[in-house]
Amino acid sequence: MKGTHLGELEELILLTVGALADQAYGVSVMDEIAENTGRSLNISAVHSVLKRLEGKGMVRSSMGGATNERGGRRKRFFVLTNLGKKALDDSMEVRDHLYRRIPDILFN
Amino acid sequence: MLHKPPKFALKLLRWYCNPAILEEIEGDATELFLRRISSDGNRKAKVRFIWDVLRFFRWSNIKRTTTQKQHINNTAMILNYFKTGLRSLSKDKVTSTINIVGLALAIGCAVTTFIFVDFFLSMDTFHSKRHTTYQIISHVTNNGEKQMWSDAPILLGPEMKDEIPFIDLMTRIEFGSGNMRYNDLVFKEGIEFVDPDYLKMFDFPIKYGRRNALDNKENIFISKKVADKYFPQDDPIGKQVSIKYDNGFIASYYIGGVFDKAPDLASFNPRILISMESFFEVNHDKSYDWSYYADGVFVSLKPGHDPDELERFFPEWIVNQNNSNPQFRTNGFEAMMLTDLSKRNHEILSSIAGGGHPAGRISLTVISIMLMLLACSNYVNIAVSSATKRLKEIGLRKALGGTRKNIIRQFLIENIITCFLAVLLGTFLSFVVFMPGFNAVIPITIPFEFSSLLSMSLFFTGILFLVGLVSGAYPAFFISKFQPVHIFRGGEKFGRKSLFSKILLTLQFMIAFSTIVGSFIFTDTSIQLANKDLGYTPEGVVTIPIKNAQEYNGLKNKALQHSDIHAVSGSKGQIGLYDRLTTIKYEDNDLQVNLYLTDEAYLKTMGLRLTDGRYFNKGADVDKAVINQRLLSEMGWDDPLNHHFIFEGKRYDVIGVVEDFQLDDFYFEIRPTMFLAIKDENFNYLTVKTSLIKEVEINNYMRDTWRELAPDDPYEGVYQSQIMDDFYRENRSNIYIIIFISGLTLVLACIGLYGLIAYNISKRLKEFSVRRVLGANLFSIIQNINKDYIWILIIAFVLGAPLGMIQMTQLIKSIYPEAPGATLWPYVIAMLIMFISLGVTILSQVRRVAKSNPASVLRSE
Repeated sequence: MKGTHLGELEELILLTVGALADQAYGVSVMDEIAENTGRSLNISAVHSVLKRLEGKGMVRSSMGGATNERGGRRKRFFVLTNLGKKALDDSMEVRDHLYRRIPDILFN
Repeated sequence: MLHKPPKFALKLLRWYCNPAILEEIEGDATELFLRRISSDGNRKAKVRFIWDVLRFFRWSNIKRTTTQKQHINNTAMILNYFKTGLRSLSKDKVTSTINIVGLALAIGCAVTTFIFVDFFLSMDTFHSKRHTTYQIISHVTNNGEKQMWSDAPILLGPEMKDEIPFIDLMTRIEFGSGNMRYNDLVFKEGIEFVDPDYLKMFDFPIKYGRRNALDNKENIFISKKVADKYFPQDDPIGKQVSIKYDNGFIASYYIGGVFDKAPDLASFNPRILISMESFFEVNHDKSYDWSYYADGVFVSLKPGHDPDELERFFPEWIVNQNNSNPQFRTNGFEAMMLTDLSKRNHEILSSIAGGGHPAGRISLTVISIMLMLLACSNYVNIAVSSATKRLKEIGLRKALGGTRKNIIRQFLIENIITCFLAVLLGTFLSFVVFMPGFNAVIPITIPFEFSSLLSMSLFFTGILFLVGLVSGAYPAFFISKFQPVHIFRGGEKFGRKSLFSKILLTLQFMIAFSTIVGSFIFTDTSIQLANKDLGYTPEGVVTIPIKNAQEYNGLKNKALQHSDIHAVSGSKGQIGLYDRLTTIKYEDNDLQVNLYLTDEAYLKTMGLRLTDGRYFNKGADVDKAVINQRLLSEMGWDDPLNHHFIFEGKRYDVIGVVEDFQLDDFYFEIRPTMFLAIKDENFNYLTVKTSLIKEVEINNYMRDTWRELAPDDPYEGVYQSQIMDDFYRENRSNIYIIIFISGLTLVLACIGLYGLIAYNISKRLKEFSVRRVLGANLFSIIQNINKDYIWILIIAFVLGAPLGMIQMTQLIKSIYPEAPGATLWPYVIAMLIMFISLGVTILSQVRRVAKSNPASVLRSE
């Protein structure tokens, strides 16, 4: 099943990319994760996961326009592909399904 | 204020990062950096930036080699380099020959030196137990001076073998001598007394016999040389010989074995091996306690043991030694590896191992490196100036997309081709000329061999690349720098005007001048020494060492009967062979003097020349002394005949003063010397004086007489005029080596000059032709050519000649303390030789200009 399996960090980053819509690039993904989960990742880790996701076809990327920020260097923006969306859906479904089967009685 | 991320971190990132993703990575890192400056401060932001850059160093981000380069046809390009290299070599045959021959001469010297040094550094490596065999060296403080002695207590060996469990083999070596006799053959032989383990410890090849032969003390082992002398034809095993030792003891032995010819690499060779047991029998009157030193103690350790482990056993024995021999106290023992003995033999007193002083090896290495530098600088000079001819080629290569790196590579490859040819030729030269020549002037013969295949291949690869790079680097970088635009426009000018090549040439001639002047000074001194008056008359004097009064009286009586013998005298000590160092007292002063005890006739027999007073009178002068001028000047007496001094508690009056004479060869200075007349006949030399032509006849007569008187002892008479022959032979070898080296420097310098001038002339041939057409005579053209070089030569001579003189005078002073002052001849001859050879070099080129037809030169193109 190589290619479609998602690791925990991969899933998290894929979700973030989806959530950020067309504003997802390295630093914004990192910030978003830090904000939502409190996990501080190194930027290089974010980059390598994004690269991996792109390799699996779950995100696609394009260079943004030139700006005056950050020394004039362009950003690489990532957006979710259909495959990526489907992978997230699948994973949510599996979770949902399994979650609903937890008997309530156990926690009362 | 605008903050920037640390520069080196950015550089690092740009260096390793794949260019396709560099921008985004750099951008993200910079964004974070700028944000952190406001939150964390500048310093912290920088540190975190560096950390980020380091974290980005991942496999997926690293630059890979692109596939683009593989499309260039590398093989064809490099093959082309070889092709153009060979073409440019064969195009200009004169320059190529000069380059190759010059380098080959230097490489030949380097090969010879390497073989020589390699030979000495691999001494004794043929012993298979060399890694576990050690000699015990004694550290001694003697008169406040720290010394290392090869000698060690004779008891140390057996004690070590008994006490130390991990000692495998042990042998002592004690030197002795005696007269060995087989039937009617008698010769004086050097003897080594050893323990039976000697044969197991050292791998000297054996021709006859077994390695356990010495277990029986009746057996002896002899070298092939000794065996050939006594038993030229037959197998000597089991033959009985008798040996008369120096103390008169006679013993007979059986030949238990014969060694084969010892390997060249042996730093010490066995001559006659006799068991240690016999030594105690021969010299039974001495006591062999801790005070007695044997000449050497060797041990072999069992495998896996370190010589440091011996240390803890030594203290007890050091105490034993110190108690029994307080005059010669050992501070400690050191186990020295067998293969180190020959390398360190100059540090060890009375060392068993030979192998020469390292000074010889070092100076040879320095000389060959210097020659190599000279040859390389020749090459650099010629290569730089010859590049003019290839400017267009370089321009074209560059215009067609050749990078500077390509050009450098091309020239280095060409250079390595030249070097390869030079290495071939140099090795050949070394094999055919240098090594045989070198062997002819040194006392031993070194085979043309390398100690191992590894050292050989390392040496040749090393020399090829070293010479290739040293000589090729500058031209390659220099030539590759030119811009095609300038080349094609004709703007590049260099070579003749290059300051660098002028400095090189000056340096080269400085070295050449200084070695030539130096070598002539050395030769001059040597010739003067060879003809120097010795201060006495050795011609016609035959000197015979004797043992006792019986021999003396017998010989003397027979000698007096011969009509051609003018004088006979006895002495204790003989000029040039043996004297005693002793101390005399004058008033409160002590003075070290050399002493000869003689009969009354000795001074006259030896032809010592009086400057004051008289010789000894027969019978009456036992409390009188004759001194030499050096002693007189040390004492500072004006009227020596009224003075006296005290020697061994007795008063001696001075009755005569003789001219200074050479006590030993010229390596030693003349020291204060005195002659005392003695009455008893305890002499060790008998001297007979005859005329020069009768010398040989008298020597034979004395030998025949000796045979009748003392058939058990060999006759050892020598001609007094030949006792310095070893010195003269060594001196001659030194002259040959020095002349050879200076000749080589001169040849190299001339080659360099020739090559340079040849180039400049061919470049300026048109100019000269125009000058000639316009009426310049040959003389003004010669002036024109030489203008550049005359100054170089003058500067080189002014700097080089005094340098050579100063160095050589110091060297001579340290070798020969009594050397006569140098004359003016060395300078004159050195200058003449230099200017003649330089003149020939330059004129050979001028001839080219003179012979060329201006019309044909100018018409071309």
